[in-house]
Amino acid sequence: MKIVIIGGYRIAYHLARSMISKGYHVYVINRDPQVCQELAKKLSAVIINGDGSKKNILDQIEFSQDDIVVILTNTDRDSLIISQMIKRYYGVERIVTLVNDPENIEIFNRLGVKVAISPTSLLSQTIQGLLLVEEMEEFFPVEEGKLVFLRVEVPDSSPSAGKKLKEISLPNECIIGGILRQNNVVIPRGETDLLPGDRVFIICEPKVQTQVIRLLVGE
Amino acid sequence: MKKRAESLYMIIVGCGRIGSIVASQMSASGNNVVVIDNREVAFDNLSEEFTGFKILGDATEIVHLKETKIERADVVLALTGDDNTNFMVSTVAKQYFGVKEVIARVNDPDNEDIFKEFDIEVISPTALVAEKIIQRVDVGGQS
Repeated sequence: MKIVIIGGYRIAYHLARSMISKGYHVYVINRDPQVCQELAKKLSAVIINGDGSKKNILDQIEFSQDDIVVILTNTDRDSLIISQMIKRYYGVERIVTLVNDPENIEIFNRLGVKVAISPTSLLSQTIQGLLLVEEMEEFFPVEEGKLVFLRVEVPDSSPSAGKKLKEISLPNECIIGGILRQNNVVIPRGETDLLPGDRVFIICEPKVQTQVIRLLVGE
Repeated sequence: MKKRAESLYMIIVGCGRIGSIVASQMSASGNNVVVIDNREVAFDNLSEEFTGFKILGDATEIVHLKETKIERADVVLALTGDDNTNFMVSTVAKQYFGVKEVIARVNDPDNEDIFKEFDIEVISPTALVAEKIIQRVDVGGQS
């Protein structure tokens, strides 16, 4: 199994370096000759200079079906055709691609690229998380933001402090998965009391996140 | 292209030398044509007979494709000079918006296979020109 990184510059370099240090065989395709020279000096990887959206360049790599291909070009149209060539010509299924326009994520998904990551949407979700409340300790959207993982600390002023979980009218689209109380893990039941200082781990749909936070933290 | 009785709703992506001629003629022969290009000057290539809509924008951004009402299109023609753009527009038209007839200009003959994999009709200017030249030179040859 090898890891093939197509396009990108800084990210390609850092990713390649980290993968090499973990013991993987890394191949890099980049169309910029200067980038290739630099990478060749710094990395013990196979570096191929050429346009990764051309079949004759891709053919230089002997792909096998268990390879992992990471596509980091800065235009979605290039990444799309590369991903489809890799899939159709070489039968590689594990493809990770960077998507610039968040609206294109669904297009990649629909064309069989399951892992399409948009830095834009990751950043904007993280920023939104920061904007929520101070008590929010962690805000981690998964599955392209369809599900959110939250960790909040219950303040003294919380409207729910001292209540049993079953007495708090949490929306159905949310579940409390765990409570950390003075370094002890409490697996929550309906009878569990919520105390100030508790760190609560929540999984919910984004549409109810504000409501959940309001209930557990307050306004 | 085949002759059709009724007028078609047609999206043409790329209004360069080839796209503008196709768009102008298709419009002149009574079809509803929307042409999209990300260079404003490209629309200068259209003839006076063109009565369709012009949309300024990058067709590989889905918001701009939606502006063309692509989901209602009978035909989408991807005619830019860049194969990767044409591939994205064509596959999105076909797989995402369910457009039945998608025709793409494919400049690099090596790329034809991947377009055909997605049931996209391929027009290769390279092959067409080469064929014409061969026909001219080798008068007795087969086509």
